[in-house]
Amino acid sequence: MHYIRSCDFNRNANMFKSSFFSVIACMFCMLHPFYVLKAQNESKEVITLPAVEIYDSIINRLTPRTSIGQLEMQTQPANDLGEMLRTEPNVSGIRRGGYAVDPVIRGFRYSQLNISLDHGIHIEGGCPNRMDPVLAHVDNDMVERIEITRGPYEVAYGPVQGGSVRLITMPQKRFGTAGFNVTSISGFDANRSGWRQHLAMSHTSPGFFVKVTGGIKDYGNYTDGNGKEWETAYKKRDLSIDLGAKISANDEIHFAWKGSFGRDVMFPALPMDELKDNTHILNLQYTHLNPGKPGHSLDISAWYTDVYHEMGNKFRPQFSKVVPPYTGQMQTLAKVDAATAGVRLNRVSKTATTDINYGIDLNFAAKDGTRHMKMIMEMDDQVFVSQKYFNLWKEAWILNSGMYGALSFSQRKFIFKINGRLDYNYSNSEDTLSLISTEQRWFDVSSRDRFLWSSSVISAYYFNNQSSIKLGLARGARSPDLQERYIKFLATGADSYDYLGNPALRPEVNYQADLMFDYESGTNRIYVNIFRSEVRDFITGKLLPPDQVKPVSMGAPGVKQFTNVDRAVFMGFEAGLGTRFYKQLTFTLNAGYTYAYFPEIEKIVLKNNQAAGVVMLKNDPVPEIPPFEARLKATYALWNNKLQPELVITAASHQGAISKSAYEKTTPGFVLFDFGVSYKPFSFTSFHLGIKNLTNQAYSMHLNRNIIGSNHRFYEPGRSFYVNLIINL
Amino acid sequence: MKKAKHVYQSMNKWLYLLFISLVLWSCEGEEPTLQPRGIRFHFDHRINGEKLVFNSMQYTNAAGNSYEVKEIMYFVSDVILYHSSGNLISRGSLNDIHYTDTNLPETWEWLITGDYPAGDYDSLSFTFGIKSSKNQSFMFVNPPEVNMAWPEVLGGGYHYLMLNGWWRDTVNLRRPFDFHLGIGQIYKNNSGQVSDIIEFIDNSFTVRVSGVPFRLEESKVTDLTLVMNVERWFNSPVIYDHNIWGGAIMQKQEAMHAGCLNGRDVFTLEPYALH
Repeated sequence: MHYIRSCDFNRNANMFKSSFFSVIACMFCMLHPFYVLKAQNESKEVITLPAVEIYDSIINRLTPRTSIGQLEMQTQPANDLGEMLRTEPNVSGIRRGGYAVDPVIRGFRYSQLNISLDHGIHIEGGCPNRMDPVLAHVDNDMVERIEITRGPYEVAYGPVQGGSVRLITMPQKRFGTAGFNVTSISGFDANRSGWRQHLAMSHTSPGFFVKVTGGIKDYGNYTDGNGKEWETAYKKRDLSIDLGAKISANDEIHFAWKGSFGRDVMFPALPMDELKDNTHILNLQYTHLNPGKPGHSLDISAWYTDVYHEMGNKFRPQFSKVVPPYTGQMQTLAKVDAATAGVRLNRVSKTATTDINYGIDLNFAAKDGTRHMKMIMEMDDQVFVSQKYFNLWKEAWILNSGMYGALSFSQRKFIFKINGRLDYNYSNSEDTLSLISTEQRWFDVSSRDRFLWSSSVISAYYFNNQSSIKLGLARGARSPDLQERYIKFLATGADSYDYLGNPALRPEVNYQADLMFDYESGTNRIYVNIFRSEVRDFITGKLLPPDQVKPVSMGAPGVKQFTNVDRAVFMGFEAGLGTRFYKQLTFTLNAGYTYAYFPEIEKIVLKNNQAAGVVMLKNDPVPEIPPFEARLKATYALWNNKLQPELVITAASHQGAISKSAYEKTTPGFVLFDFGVSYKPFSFTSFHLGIKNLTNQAYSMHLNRNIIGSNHRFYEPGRSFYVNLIINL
Repeated sequence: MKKAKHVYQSMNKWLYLLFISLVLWSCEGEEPTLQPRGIRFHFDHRINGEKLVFNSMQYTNAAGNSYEVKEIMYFVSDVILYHSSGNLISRGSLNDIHYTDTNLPETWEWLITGDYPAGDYDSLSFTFGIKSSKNQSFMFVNPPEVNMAWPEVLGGGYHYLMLNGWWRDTVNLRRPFDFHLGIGQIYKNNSGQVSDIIEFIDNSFTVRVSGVPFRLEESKVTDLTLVMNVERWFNSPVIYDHNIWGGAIMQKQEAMHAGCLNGRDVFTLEPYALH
């Protein structure tokens, strides 16, 4: 087995680049078009996973979108939805601990992405350090499907600027023949010495359905390829109840409650760990269908979410003893309450050539939280305790209400889709902090309101039944989130700097163009998506002069404040193809790359941690952009698909396009080999076992955070054996 | 199938071109550093005009105590420049505080920049320590500054000065002294018990530095040496006797007050010269 060690990349990046592209070239060569076949298995006993995309409507076919199905999530040893998303082209994730990977799509992250559940439910994570990004509040075993849209093309679930992720958790099969179904998913991961168990029970009938699920995850620390153990243990409990009833032939009502409870979730890349996280998601939905007019529907939904988040450093050494260079014990505990509430009305109607979708929505998000710091010192043979409470947020909130519409129609070989959205956004905070100098107004809270508009046009031209070309043009605007507006002195970024909010931020606006090419012949597919985004008023952290504002978080070397930068440019592509040899051997290859830069940005030159001057940089790369990455998957079907071995090769290039203004560091490339086998002895049960990172590669992804207070990268797990058992009765 | 092959080959070529164009897309560039106008202080520590020798019992104060210095840590803040025109120029920034630590060379320089008028200046002044309005607990959470924390129960905030060393007492015993200045306390009945504190005293004081006039030029940093004459902490105007005050003075307002009176002329200013 050949593999390339990360240290080789360090020694000679150029050699790596040439060898890496050779590997990619070989992969393409192997996939000779003569043998190209559709990767999606059409057999009833399907175990092979969808190769590239699943489309569920003609409207969505137009957008640069991919989807992850339930089977893939159940069979993989992914710890959370963020890890699952990282398997998609041009989707990466920020890792801070063993759980809660934060997704990055085409370089866009956080509130540049609109992440919603079902019919537009939005969750506001409680942690300012993003220990609990939105996806961390939903267990992957509860999700039926994930839809990823790259770009601001899906405006029906809220304002979107860089991309959107939609989790479908509502049972797809609700009303029908009376029946009882039980699904059990069990998993074990040897590297993490951890296991998961998920149980789902559902009952369906023509007029009523109920589904109850529960899950436990208990994972220990993992070991990287160098044999180093990382403090990444965590415990999660999840519960959900779905109830639905047909109140008439045309009307359905659906109620759902989901609870997610995290305990002792370790984050070695953050100054604190999650001690407690309780999430409640409540959803009530009414649907009106018209059997006489298929495709016509009216949905009215209302939701409420509540997240209580508690974090502290009680698992860190400085909590219980003096750790030099400190001369006292340092203890920190933070508590945050975050809540959202919203309503949405959505209407779909259809004619022979036209689809229309329109609606209104309202979303309210609020946060409030404090940090308690305690210092225990011994001076002059006496023990002194000093403590203080700080506001992280003080009754900060944002109200966003919007209306949207989408029209899709076809004209001969053309299909068009036009989207539009108008939002009114209002924010306020009861914060009393005011940082105003004679020279500058740094932080001064006052309420703000703004109107935002987004629109997009996608047109597709079908050359024939096999190939099409699509052009998308979009303008997507988003207002700054609660963190960017009101956060106070917390290390929330890629570096360990404290971040300060900026109530005066302007909205970010993305002007994006996508050119998409699709080719399908028989059962085969090749696709290429190219994009270019120009983000005006890009929001990023700007280092404040260290002699002006001091950090508050332990280990933070300075303070950065969220600021609008004139513009940032993102561009790149996703490409992929799928093929099958002799009806048994299936290959899929996906690749994605984003390059992003600031045409002009200010850099503060530091000397002895003091601002020694300012340099204007031109075309400086945007920080935290993942490198080029490609993934090749080969699956072989045996015994009428009952046994399927699978090999996945993932290659990421050296990331040398680093931000000088942010003092970012390069990351070596890597190549990973994963091997797995799926075995389905009976129709109701299947085993999925394998080895992740077969060669025990020691590697860190570019977006992985550094260990707090150091320049050491947080590494990914080394070799790991896993086994999953799925029983469906 | 031929068509498919053709499309595939075109794509390969196209992808290659895309890679090349992405790599060559942008040329990074840098504009020259904007040099700020300001002053770079170089902190120096001397006794009787000579470079301070640490950990050597070779000094004697006005009270006759033989002593040695182990380390000195202190804050200075709120610099005011006295322009020859008679104007007082304050920097007016949010957090004009600098920490100096004789153990940490990186703290021996302090660059202050701002929109100071160019021209001649007669002198400057600064606050020794941190004024009580700014001296808030937990405003520093990282070493080394955090280790200057002044206990909340004794007034909170941070030490102004930690001058640690040894002296020989009346029986020639080598004893440690922690000459620490910070927020003072008034105790009911002079009990010295924390529970009896009835008032806190802001002991920070202004130092008008004697020494040479200096000049600030456009787009240029002026280097100056700020000398702490350590012996003056103990000599004038109050003769400070370690045998009277003992080793620890954090809860002895009278001792700290004596130190603060002496501290007003501890510093002198010199043109910076490379040694």
